[in-house]
Amino acid sequence: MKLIQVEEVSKRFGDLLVLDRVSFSVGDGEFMCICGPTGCGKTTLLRVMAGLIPATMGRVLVDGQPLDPLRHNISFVFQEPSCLPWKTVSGNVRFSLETRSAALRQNLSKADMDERAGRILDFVGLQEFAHYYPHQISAGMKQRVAIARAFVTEPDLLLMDEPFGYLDVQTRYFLEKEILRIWEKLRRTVVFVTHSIEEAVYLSERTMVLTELPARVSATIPVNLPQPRDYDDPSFMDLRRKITDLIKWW
Amino acid sequence: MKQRRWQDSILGLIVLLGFLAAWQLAAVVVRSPFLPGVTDTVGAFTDLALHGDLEGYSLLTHVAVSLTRIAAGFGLACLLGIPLGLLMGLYPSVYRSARTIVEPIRFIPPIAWIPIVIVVIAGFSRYLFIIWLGAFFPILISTLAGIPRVNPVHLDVARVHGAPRGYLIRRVVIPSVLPEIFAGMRVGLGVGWMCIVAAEMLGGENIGLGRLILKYAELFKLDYSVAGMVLIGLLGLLLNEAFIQAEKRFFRWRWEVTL
Repeated sequence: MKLIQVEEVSKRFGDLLVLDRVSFSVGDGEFMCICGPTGCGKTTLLRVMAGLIPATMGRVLVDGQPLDPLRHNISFVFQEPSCLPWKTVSGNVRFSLETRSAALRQNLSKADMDERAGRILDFVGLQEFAHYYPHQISAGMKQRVAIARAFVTEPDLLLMDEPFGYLDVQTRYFLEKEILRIWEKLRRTVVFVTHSIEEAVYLSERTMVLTELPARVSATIPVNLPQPRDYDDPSFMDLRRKITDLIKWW
Repeated sequence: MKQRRWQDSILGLIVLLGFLAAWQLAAVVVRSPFLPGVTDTVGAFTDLALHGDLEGYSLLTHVAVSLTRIAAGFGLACLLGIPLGLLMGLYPSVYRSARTIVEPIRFIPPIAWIPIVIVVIAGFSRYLFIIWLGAFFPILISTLAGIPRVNPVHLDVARVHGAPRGYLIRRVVIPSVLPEIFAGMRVGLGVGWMCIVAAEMLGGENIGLGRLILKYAELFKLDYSVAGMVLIGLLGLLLNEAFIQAEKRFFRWRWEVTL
């Protein structure tokens, strides 16, 4: 697995400077959260890291080489519902394998893809729903499908853009536990964007705080709390307060 | 839900019977050969079905010939309309440059083309052209208009993994616009079917449902003409129903079925 380095990345949309020389790195297998005020460019940063949009200046390196969606294996979990409605749950999970194998001109066998998709669906507890269409399952389950679809390619870097933002509190709490369980088992490098400080402290090994627009790195805080974490633990609350103070823009 | 459907069908049947009764009553009161009643129409239909028309062509021949013409014109419209719609949707510059031709032509009704068609083309191509003209534009426009509605997130899902452009088109764009394409095909089939009478009016052969109506109208045997009209209406309805059923099967993943 790989070391991710973001070097002096700036992004400008016309006259609007969104990212201002953002630099940081993410260690191999690390779970990092990025926190910041709403509309500060978190999503833009993630999209640059995924290679979906080019940086205006600066670069993203994976193990010292410029990021390339073909050479590097990247997955993305989007904030908005992203399941393909014409594919079943297992079809959606297989889709990222199919795309990967088409992009790289490899020929992954159908049996192989089925096997891998089945394994991950089993792991996230969606095996029984493999043949359902997205409209037949709940919003929380759809997001679990998106997570399974992101993990199934065994990515070098998994980017998650407020994946639980649209969900209700209970589902969100459940999926936070789920994502930790999956990450502990599969150990991928994760960059997780959230506007919830609590979520960042609950999930991450390290939380990076961005300033308001244009986004710069305001601070990086290690979260050295043992798992499983407890929202009521005094050290949890201390850390949450510390990050809240950093993020205040009012 | 099920009870509601039952009530709807019973209500529909009552309205239909009421309409037929009113029609028959009007025919009895007026008592004119120019207003055939229900019984006259059914009689004419039975005669056509049993003995064929006055030239000996069976009703089935008329139906089969008309359906063949529709299939050819509609098939050609799909063959041209879908790829061109995709091309214009995917490359808006193509549409922008073709718009000055496409848009005005679209609003010329197929019937307006008849005089020039009579002069310029002959034989089977006449039917083909008129039906194609009716079916082509709904298919082209639906396909074209569906493409901007492709959800950008669905494209990103594939792009994150480095999907090349052709893959995005085949695996994301086309499945996304398929319901729109189908809706356009259904409308196109309907319009093409409505052009059948116009097309057969100018075709030379004496077969086809449109021709059947004209043949008897010239003899003032309007009961036969009306029987032909009813048959055209029912067949059109059947084609449309078949299409909707196909759509329902095909797009099971869509919870809103277009109607």
